[in-house]
Amino acid sequence: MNATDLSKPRPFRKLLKGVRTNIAFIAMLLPGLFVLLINNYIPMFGVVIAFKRYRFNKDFFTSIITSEWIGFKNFEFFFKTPQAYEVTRNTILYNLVFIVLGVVIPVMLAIALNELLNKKLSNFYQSIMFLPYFLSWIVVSYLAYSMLSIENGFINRSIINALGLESINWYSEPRYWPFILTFFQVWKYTGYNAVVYHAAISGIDSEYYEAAAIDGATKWQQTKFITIPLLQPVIIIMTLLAVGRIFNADFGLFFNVPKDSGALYSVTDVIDTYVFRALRNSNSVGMAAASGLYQAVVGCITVFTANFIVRKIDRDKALF
Amino acid sequence: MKKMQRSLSFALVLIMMLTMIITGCGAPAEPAASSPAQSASQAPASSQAAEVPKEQVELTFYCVADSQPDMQKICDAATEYLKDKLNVKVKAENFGWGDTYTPKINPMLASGQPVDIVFTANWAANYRVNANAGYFVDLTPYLKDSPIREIVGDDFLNGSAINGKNFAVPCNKEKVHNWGFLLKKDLVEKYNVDVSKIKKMEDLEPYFDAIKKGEPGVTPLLNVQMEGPFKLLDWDNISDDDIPGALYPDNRDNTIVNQFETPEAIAMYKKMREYYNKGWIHPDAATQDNFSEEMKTGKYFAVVQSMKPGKAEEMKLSTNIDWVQVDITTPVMSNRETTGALLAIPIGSEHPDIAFKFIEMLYTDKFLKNLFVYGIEGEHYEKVSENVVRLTDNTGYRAGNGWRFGDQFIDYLLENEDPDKWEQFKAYNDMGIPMNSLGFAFDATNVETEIGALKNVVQKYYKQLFLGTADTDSTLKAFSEEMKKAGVDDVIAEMQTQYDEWRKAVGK
Repeated sequence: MNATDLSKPRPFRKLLKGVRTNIAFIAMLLPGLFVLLINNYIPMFGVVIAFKRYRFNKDFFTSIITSEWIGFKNFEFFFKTPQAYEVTRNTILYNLVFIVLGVVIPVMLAIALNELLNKKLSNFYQSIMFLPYFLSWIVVSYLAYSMLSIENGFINRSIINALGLESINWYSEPRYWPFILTFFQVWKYTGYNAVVYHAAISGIDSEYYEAAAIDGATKWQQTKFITIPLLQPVIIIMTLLAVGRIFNADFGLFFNVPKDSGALYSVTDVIDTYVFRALRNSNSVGMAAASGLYQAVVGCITVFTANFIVRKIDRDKALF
Repeated sequence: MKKMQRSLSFALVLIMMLTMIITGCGAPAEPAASSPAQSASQAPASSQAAEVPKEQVELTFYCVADSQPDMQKICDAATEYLKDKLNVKVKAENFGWGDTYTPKINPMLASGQPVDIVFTANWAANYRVNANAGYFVDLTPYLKDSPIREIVGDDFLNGSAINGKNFAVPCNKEKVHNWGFLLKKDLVEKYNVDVSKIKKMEDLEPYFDAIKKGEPGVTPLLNVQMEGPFKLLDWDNISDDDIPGALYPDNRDNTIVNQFETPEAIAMYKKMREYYNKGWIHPDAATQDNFSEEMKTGKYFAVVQSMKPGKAEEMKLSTNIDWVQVDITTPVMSNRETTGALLAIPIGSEHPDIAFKFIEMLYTDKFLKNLFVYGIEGEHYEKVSENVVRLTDNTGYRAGNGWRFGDQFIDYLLENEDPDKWEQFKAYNDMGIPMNSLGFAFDATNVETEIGALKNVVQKYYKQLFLGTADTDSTLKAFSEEMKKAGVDDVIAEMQTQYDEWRKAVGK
């Protein structure tokens, strides 16, 4: 009896002790956990809609329960279409480019900012770069339009026509758009990312640099052997998070900036815009849920795979 | 150092998670319906006798048309007026036209929000799809001995019914349609356009040319999205405008064709390409997305519109521009009209009985109807005589478009409108040729996948063809190929089967 008495409650007692010692941390965790539960976990119940022919009945929850099960039929609409390949390709390629540029350019800028001796100026630059992040894509789309419109666009009117060349019909020429879209994406997010990396660089102990300087290391060597290696964990985390969303394109960018011009779909259409357009006017809740679920599942798999690879290379740097 | 790195990365992860939580709330919203809606089959309060409900309830009424700054004033006036009639607090709002209205209303319906009255049509808030999905209260029992039956007429009520059930009430307006041009009056006078000689679009070409040369800043022809000369072909579409499948508008046969690939359509594409190259269509046409706003700028000479008597005068109200009306196609009565403007009661409504009484009043109560069309007397308009009004300079409420709800025949007339407008309407209604397909409702359940795909293909190509912004032959070739891959043949075959069965059933 004594033996069972000791063995059984032990894990429980251990847990209780753990709770008691960490009570402050748990209390801090609770509000976040609560929000996560309400916003992210409870709505997950809605995933079943993807497998149902949604028909309204009394209220939302009853409708979900009483709707007819139709298996994977809701998923068909996406995979059956001729454009499925094109939009998937666009989504992944654009996101890959964005991930790479989202590391390279902001890191370079962050390092440059850090080297500025005038801290006031450095803060000023940072704020200026941060500004586009707060503009909505709608605003950006009109900004782009004021540049690219045929009749009144700045580029056609003040540059191309001034050089005596024929106006370019930007919104009908797919070949320019991979660059235009990339440009606006980088323009909008670089500031934000640069701030993150700049914060990480500021956290690096200045003794490293002093020691390196005494040993005669050049600025480039300091960057290469101190800054970048110490930035690596942050870079990996940011990249992993971005990889998780590789199947979710930035809807605002791809929908608003090309002005929904059909001629450009071959290079501007991504999964999100495609699904939106197919479902906008048909009110098919089931198909919308199916495509959302598909993106989430694939995104989840990619993030686990990427993390697995990182862990294989360097256990300490993996996210989990 | 290691520790600091760790805590830093932890902080970063937290930030990321927070951003995700804040921005990632795209998941289905919680249902708003607090009490289960009264079931549709429940019989309405049988007596029409107006017993005023003791407690004031809120009545939401969502409609198409541009949002108006003074909407709140109109709602307050309606609430005040209805105090001893229905005792409701009216909460009305306009959400723009089809393309902006539909995506706002559909989620409200799907999540069962307690909205009482919504506008719906074949071009806004998908009347047929949503009625089939059970989002609207079956109004058949309500309509049984409602004065609306007499006002609207059985032909329209039956034409808009789905399998014999009325899920929405059609508005009483013109019952036929034809297509034509509205020409800007000052330019018609300046260039001496002989309107009586214009029988087809080509007759306008010399004027397009003259205006292009003589009026810098004016584009001869407005062509935005689907609102353009393609409409003049007047396809009797089986489903939405962006889904292949249509009948010729002259009852020549009962074969459903892909309207985007007919010789008539191809000739139109070529014509548009020619116009675009000549600069008769705005160079930025492919990116314009707001037809009514473009029309209001007054920078266009000709605009394609669906016609009816007094259309030009009616459009003066919402555009503030004088127009001259030129009819091109012959009037027909098709499913476009019977389901062209309806009011429905969503299943989430908490008081459908009161909502229906409100709808009824839009047919019978002259004051209430005109309040929502013209605004408040003395503020937005003033009376010239019993039935004629003049707009004031106050543009706070210019909703107009009296055909959107209720009985348009009880609307006041504007000073510039013909006093026999409503008699002309009746004559016009008699002129229309009823289409063979009148009353046929296509059920898309079996080909939902294909239709989803086809919508995207059409969206991808139609602008280049309709607006002439790209080479016709190569675009058309790619368009046809993609439609084929998306299953256009299956969709048209399904339409044909259903249509033939329906014809057999009704004996046509």
